[in-house]
Amino acid sequence: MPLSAAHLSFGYPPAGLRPHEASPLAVSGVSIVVDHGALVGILGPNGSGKTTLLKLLAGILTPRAGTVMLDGRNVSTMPARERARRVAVVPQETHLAFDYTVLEIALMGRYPHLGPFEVEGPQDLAAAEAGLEATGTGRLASRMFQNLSGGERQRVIIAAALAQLDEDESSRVLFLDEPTASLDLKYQLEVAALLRRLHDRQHVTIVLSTHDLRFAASVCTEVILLSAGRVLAQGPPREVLTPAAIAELYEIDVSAAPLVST
Amino acid sequence: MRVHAGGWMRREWGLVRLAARTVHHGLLAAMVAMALAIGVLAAPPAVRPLRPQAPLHRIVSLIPAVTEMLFAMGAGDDVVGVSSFDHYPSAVEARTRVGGLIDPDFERIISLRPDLVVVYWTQTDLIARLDRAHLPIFKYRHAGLADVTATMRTLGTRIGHAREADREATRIERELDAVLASVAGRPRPRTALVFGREAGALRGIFVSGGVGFLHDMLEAAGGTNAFGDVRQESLQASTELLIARAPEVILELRPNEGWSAVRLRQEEAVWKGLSSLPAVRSGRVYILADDRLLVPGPRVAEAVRMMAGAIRGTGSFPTDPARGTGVGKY
Amino acid sequence: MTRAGLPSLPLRRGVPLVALCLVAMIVAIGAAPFIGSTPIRVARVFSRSTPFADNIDAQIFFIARLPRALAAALVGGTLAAAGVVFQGLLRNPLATPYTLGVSAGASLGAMVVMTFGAAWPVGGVASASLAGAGLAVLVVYWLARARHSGLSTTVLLLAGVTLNAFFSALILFVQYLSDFVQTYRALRWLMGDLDVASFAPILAALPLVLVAFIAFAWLARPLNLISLGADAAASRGVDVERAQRVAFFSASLATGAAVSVGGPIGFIGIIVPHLVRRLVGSDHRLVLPASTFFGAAFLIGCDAVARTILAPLELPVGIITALIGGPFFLWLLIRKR
Repeated sequence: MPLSAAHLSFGYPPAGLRPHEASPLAVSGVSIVVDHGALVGILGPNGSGKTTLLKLLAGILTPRAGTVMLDGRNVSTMPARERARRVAVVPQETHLAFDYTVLEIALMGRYPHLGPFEVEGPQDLAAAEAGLEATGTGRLASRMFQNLSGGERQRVIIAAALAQLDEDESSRVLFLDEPTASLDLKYQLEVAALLRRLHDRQHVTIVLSTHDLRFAASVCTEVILLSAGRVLAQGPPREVLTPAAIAELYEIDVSAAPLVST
Repeated sequence: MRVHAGGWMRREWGLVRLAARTVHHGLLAAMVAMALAIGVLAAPPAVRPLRPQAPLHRIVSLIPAVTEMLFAMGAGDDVVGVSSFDHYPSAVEARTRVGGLIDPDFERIISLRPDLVVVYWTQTDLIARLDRAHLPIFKYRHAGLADVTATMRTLGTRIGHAREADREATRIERELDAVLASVAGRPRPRTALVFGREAGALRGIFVSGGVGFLHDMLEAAGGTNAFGDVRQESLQASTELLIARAPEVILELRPNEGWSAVRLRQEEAVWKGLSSLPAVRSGRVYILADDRLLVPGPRVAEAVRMMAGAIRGTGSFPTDPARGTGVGKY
Repeated sequence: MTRAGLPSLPLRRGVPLVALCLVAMIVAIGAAPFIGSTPIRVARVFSRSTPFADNIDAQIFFIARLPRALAAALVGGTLAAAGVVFQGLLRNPLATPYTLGVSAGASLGAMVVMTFGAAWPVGGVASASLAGAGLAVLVVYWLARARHSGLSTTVLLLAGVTLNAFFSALILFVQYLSDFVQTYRALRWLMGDLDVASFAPILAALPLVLVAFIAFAWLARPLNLISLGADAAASRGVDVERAQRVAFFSASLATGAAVSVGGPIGFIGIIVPHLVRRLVGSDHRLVLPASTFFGAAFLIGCDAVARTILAPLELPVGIITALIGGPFFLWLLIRKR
């Protein structure tokens, strides 16, 4: 069942001394549809509202106007735990206040599945391990998170996100905010390969935001061009990523061959 | 490894505050150590024989005890400046206030154009400034009971009232001898002399150790200091220590705060919390609320007499109705 | 059921260590009344032949030392647990129970009563310090909310620091107005004093502490997730603002209760959580109980040192914790991060 957004608008509440002024909209009039099993990339320059749109789609922010529906249900009014079981968000960077082992972090993903004083059981352990295996970090289970490389950390957080999502629900969506922004090329390729693997083999619906053209072009099945909070185009990369579109998106002159080989 | 700037700065700030707190605690510890050290050092006050001088007429006194001495030896009219804590005799209310031990007002002192300033020997900053201003100084040191009369005589000589000072000192000595005679031959009960306690509770109890003015008064009044073996002027008595020393009499000294007799009884009843102490069981807990008790000045003999009466358990000793001294017997 | 090569639940493996800390606390409570500056004989303490009124050894054991050991356990355990919760709330392992101004409020309350004593109606210094702590909590919370709805930990921290500075200034002012003996007694109170002399102060603080610990138990898992980041926790279904509110109020009031019993004893709330995390990891479901038990045992030990090292004089227990705390932090700074 698709994830769809209709006429989304959002502006951050004004902070500081003038609370009565209306703030500029970070996202306005955005309507998109994400099919089950798609790997969608929201592409745009910094400040275009990518992260905001991602948070709106994930239900972390409540839109000022418009709705986000998952399986026909409004994402922002869903109970937090239920939403957490269907939608998982992987932030750009994870900074721990204290050091945990990789397995502990994967197990933390099971929070929405447990009651207030309930302790993790074998089912939760299995889900955590499955997530670690899927991201190729199973052998790191007893390592401390702070000692991992950037790429390994990112994959562990993805594993925790996978453990968080219900296994049987077809309407589970994995959101990633700038998954490669802080990684070296080698780790970028690792994460890209992982995402494709999750998409191809486990049919996880993935929505990610990025400003990296190359990454979006090579990994995503569908691309949404976002500029100043508005959608410029949506569709497969081959169709959407034309030199004219790129020029308009990044406000640059482009004279290059298409980046995508099919 | 990437470092998140915000988190790092927060940790830095946290560390700075931690360091400040460590220093703060360390300073407090140093102050305690200093206070203990000052109590422990037992150097006698330096008393140099002085040639009699011409009478001085503009005296500033930062010590309430000394102010009383000056008035007692007839030099009251020559006192132009007194401390913030002076209240006796009533004439001092009309004099200029110049601060106290911790906050002496140097400007006000010199504005009075004194020909003698009596200071605590520990007020080194003030002494240095007065020296630079070429003002004569008398350094006072709070010591034992016998030093009260010695100081009076020295001071009297210094300000040109030697004869009156000697007369007063002799009177005090005779009164003290009378008290000593009245307690001679009587049993000397083990006594805890308490001079500070949290109101309404048995915590933060400070007692006199075996050194100093309070201890001397207690011994003169016919009591044996239960903490006499501690070579310090004061110590905080823990519950364990009180139980171990098992005092037979508890004497609490307080300044006169205008408490009624009922209030004093209530405060004495707080000691029931330690009902196993011999003093509490036999009802020999006394709170004496009188300013004379805490000032090592010309009225010490009256103070000692008061204490002796309490120790003896007679409950009949002179009170000043105008000042409302309250005494209760538990 | 685990696959080959992957370990079992980390939580289960930490339980024996928590049990060890519990044993340490029980041993400490049991042993402390036998230690002290006055030598007592065990046989005399428990002998029935001498009436209690004449049995000084028994009096010392049951009236002076036993309540003191229990007070140390209460204060040590509470401060350690509150430290853990504050560190989780502020996402900073250097946070202490006093970072947000609770102890400044408690100290101000105590000092006002010590100086202007007669005016305070009931309960003396302990209740006044609790009232001061409550006032500080309300002011900090109000300040933190004033900027925007929602509870930003940065603003909370700033509000706490502001309050600390302001109340410290007021404390200095009150000290200025007090006479020499009052100032000295106030300074001694600030250094910590566990000589409760009866069970009453412990029983008075107990209800508040118990309520706080129930809240701590509920907070354990949300704090785990919040340490990944507030947004990350929210996306996993944690009601972050509610957890922060519960954490702030429960830990602050627990700290206020502890300070009202024994004064603002420093370093427990930061040394103990640090050591415990090195022992059991960072899962709050293990760190909270282990810190409570270990903090209790630790403070009982410090108090035992404080009251025997200069016998018959007693060193304030805060000096011992500070003497341990200073080098501890030096070591933390120097070792490889």
